[in-house]
Amino acid sequence: MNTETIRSAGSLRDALYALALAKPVPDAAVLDDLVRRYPHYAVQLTDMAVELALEALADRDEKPRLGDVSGTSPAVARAMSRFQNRLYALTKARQPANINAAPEGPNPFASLDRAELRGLGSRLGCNTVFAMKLRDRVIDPETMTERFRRHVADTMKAPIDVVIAHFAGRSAMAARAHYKAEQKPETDRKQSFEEAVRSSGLTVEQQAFLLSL
Amino acid sequence: MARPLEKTTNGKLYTRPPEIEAATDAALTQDLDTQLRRALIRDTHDPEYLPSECLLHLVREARRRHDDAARDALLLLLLARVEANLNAKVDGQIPGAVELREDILGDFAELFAIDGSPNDRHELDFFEVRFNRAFFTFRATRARSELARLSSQTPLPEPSDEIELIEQELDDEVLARLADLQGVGGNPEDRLFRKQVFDAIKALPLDERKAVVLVHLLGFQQGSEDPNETTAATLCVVDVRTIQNRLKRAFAKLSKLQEVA
Repeated sequence: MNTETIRSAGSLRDALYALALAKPVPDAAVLDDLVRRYPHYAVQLTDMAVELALEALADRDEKPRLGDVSGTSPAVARAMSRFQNRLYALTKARQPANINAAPEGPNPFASLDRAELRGLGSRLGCNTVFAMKLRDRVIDPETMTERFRRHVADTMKAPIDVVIAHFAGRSAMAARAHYKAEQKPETDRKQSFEEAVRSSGLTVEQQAFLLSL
Repeated sequence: MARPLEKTTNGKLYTRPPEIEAATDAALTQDLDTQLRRALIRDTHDPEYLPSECLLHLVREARRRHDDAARDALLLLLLARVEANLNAKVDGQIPGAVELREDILGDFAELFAIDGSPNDRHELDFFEVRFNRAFFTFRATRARSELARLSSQTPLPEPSDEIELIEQELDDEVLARLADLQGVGGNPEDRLFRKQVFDAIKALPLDERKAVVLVHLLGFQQGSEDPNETTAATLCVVDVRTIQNRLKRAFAKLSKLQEVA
């Protein structure tokens, strides 16, 4: 993803949060002001204002519900796992390269959140699982074709050498792997490109497309 | 004292509401056991209840001082609150609702990993101002993109080429009550009417729903001769006649509310 896109995604979120935080219920003046400040996001701001107004209507009569927060549900445990994995990946990315390890370039995937990663997967002709494998470098770069690397670079609008350097780095963990805090959530075993394509839940068409590159 | 927020809007720093600022300051002076005990309280009217804005701040502070045990213990309780919100708010009728809730919960958890990193855009600051409204935004943007993705996979039926306008007098009483909806009181009749209006508006097709909310809840003009004026028509990128037609169709449906209100 190029810098401009990242900046835009951030600005859109800022605009939507500004709308939500301006007043308990947005009104014409608030939406008008924000649409003038963020004219490119007028449609998204309008949709959000409509949802906020309806939410306020529904919430007025609802008693606050927090549910039982005393136990840890499987979903919360998996969310914690994602937090730990992401934290580990970011910490790892900031550490100086090990003298014995292959040099690691900037990770062009690092700034992508889940929705952005899903969007990238869609543009690449794959799915989020496969995009995560690319992000976490679990695919052996030696088994990737030049055309595939070029396809990723073009789609992400990133320099080809950055993409190649990223794939050549050490693999991080599978994005949803569970591990205990003291364990190292990393594996150096990489899948072959074909193995990754076959094991990511891709459709037959998506598999055929990726393997044809 | 709570660390000032760094996010800005229109050149000004966001600030916590005074009651949140005070509650956060107080929570920061308490030990972890007390914070955890308070974070477990479910009744928001309990004087010991820890607002989610404060709980989130405590997680961030624990992370900043590298207190992983406190960070994880507090974050678990915050995520449990968020999970309860998602279970209540993400409609179980949506295909893949369980996965969607889990995706949103995981996305939210990852914000804490990014917090303070070079890629951080201080997104969590919004949640320290008004947690529920910020989380509504966070949830809605993700739910919408998922719905868009699903609808692109499952083609919706094509609308009829000829839109038949329903010629029906708008019900003045319904219109008047809709306009006053946000201000009505809490008596049982008002609550019943509000619930019916909410359900009915939510059931409208998107374009009609937008027209009704923009004009009758938010207070926009349908259209204007002044090209610089923001109106329902400019926001929906259609002409004023289209807005009028959408409102007519919507109110043909909503006018039935009066029969039971």
